[in-house]
Amino acid sequence: MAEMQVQTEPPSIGKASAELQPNSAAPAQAQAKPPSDAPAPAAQQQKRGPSIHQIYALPAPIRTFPLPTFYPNNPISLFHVAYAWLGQVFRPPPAEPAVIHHGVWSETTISVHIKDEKSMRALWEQGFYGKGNLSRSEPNWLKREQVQRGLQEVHVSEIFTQQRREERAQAKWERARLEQEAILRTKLEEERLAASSRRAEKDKAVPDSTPSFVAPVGPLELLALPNSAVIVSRLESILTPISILAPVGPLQLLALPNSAADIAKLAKVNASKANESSSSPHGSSTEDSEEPRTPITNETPEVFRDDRSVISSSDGVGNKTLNRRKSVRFSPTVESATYKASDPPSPNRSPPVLFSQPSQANGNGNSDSQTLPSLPLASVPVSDPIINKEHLQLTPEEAFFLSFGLGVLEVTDPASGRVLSRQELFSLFRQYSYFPPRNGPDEPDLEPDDGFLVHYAVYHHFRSLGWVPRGGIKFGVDWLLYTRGPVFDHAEFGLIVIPSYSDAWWKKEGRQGPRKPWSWLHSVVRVLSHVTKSLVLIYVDVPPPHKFEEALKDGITEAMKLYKIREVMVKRWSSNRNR
Amino acid sequence: MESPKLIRIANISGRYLVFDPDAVSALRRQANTNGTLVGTTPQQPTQNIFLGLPIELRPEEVDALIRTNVAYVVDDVAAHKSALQSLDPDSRRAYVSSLRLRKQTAQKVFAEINAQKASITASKKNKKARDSSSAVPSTDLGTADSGALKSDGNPSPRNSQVTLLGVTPTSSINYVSPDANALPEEPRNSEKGSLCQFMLGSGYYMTPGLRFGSRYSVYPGDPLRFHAHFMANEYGWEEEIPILDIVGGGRLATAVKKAFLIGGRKPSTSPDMVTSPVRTFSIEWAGM
Repeated sequence: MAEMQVQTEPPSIGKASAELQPNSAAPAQAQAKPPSDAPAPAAQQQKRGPSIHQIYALPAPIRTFPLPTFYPNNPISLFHVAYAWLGQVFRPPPAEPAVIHHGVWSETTISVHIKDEKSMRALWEQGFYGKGNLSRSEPNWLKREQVQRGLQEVHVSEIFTQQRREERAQAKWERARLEQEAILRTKLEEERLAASSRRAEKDKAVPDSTPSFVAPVGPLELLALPNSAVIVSRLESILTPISILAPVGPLQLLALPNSAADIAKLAKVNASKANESSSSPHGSSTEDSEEPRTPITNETPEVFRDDRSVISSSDGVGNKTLNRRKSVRFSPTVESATYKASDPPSPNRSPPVLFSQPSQANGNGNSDSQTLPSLPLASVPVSDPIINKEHLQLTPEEAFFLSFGLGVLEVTDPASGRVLSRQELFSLFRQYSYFPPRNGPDEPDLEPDDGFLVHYAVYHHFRSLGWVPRGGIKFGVDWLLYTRGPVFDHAEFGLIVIPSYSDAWWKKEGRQGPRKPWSWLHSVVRVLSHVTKSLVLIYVDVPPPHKFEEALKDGITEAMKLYKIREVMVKRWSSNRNR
Repeated sequence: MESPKLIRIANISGRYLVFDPDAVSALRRQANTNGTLVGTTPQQPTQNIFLGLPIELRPEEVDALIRTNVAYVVDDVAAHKSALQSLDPDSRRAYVSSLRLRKQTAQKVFAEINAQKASITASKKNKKARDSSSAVPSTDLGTADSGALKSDGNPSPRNSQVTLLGVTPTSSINYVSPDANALPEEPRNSEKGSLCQFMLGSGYYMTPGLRFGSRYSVYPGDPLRFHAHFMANEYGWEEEIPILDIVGGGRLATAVKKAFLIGGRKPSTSPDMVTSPVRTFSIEWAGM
């Protein structure tokens, strides 16, 4: 099954490069590789698909058929050229673009949706267009889902990122735990020294009666601290048997009482079950922190069961979450460090619908698995195939480049079901680059400096030069420039597009570009230098409206020719670092 | 916070400066305002960050200080001119003589320094000559020693340098009456600078946030004791905030373990004194 799944993708690529084969020898060599790769040794744990150089061999969703190179000192190459030329004359390759993809304009997201799976793959693999609506960039929701259900074993970057984040969070909690332990140890040491000195003086051991609070290492713990000495003294009466340890894991954090009222409730429960509660206040009882104390509140979740009445965590051990003493110290793994917004705030208070195994996180005996799976593997019996619910979203610039620049995309209007012409698409995208969109009859006219035109000029410019521009909102810039594509390398540049009104007409009009403060530039440059990219300011000279309208009558190409692009690279220079 | 003495803020060519060290420390202690040290020597200005008095205050800080009745602003140029032109003859004479005295001391010190330098170079030359000729150096040493003694006999060079600095008085406060030419309390447009005012009012300290790409970096206490907690930007109530700014600011702030704070005040529609509260939002980048 898994092999079948892996093999589903290569054939389409094989077909794509098969069209190239008669003309270029390099893909043929590359094509010869997969058979040798396919019977990979079993020692290789992760099955590897075709290399990324094969998958992403085509830089654009069109094919080219160049003639082979003619070497004057190699007469045979003349035959080669002649053969290829004759081949193309007698059996001309299909007219390009051979494949025209279909997209649907989506007004709500101001993007063009590609629903067909083949088109999604093709547009992604041939030039890195678009973004999966359920993915970070590559539309791989289906693959991810299959990996999570244990059907496939492939590399999915989102899962890796999630794991990395979980590990990082875990490491932070671990660090906090170690710090906390060190503090406890020091306290213990001091306690012992103090006790011995006291004993040396006289045998008057007055136990410290004020509850002492452990240094908070988490926000909830911080909130749980008393706000003033008055509250401390009030708490003292009820709080004495309960000691709250610093949480060293997200679940422990969530399991903490939210307020003093909760603590009071806990205390009452404790009083009723006083047989177990150890009576010493926390501050003077740190000496036994080395060995696991008996759980203070073993049965307390019943309280919550009473007022919430829905606790569906099936395994009985799962409700021992208040057993913090233990969990603090023996929590090698945390089942899940990320929570959805719909998750209950505290795992044992509201119905844990989505918590599959809440008990494992608390480090009870049944947490055997040391791995950090984001979803339980193989626990979901899947027999029905997963339907791909993802589609590819193209930004207006990408869609228009594909349609106007390459001619490989048709966009239909979902309202009328009609294929939009290029002119219609052009004005549609221009209308929607304003907010609110200027598509009503009484809206102001479109201008030559609207967001779509300026950005499209930049996009077309860099696409034509062979760069791969992709949206850069995650780094606070307009576009990111990849040399070959996000699969191969990191983006090298971040672009900020600035309309420039350098024409005399604009100057007379008094129109100015955006006035940004210096702090804005610092912020952008610093964000980019954190991720080792350089900032490029792209000034787009906007033509005056009358010229633009005139040129637009002759077509979009003429109109776009009026836009000039200037690039200014900005580097953060610090005197200390650049000596 | 009714400080006993209002703090005098000098407005010179559009900048708000405080020259008095006591006032600076009072500002810092009582008004959460630390300002920026901008002072340097007029000749040979330092090109590093180690600057001295006066401190410069931001306009919105000054606004907040005036509102809380901690300080007042003086048009210092006008005050200076009027005070120095309308001096009565006695004080005028005293002032001129003091200037003259200072000049004389400066000249004296300068001459001394020159003499010292000359003697040092002379001794060096002598030394060189002596090294080349390998002559007996007793007399040369003696002159060098005597030169050193001479300079030691006078006030030490360090002291003389202090008096030299005194030639340009750091403030003319002795001659200008402190509240001359006090500018009327200017009710600025209340929207601008309201975030600064609000943060100062709630006990935060602020320094310029240019390093972190924002208007202010906000400290929970004195910046010498704390790290900044926020990078703050103020926006107008109706101002459009570009989403890229929020992303960039949030990202940068989170990367330097701070939070990105934006805020603004709704302009009060009614002309009465009741102002709507400042709304603030703190933004963090979660995906890191």
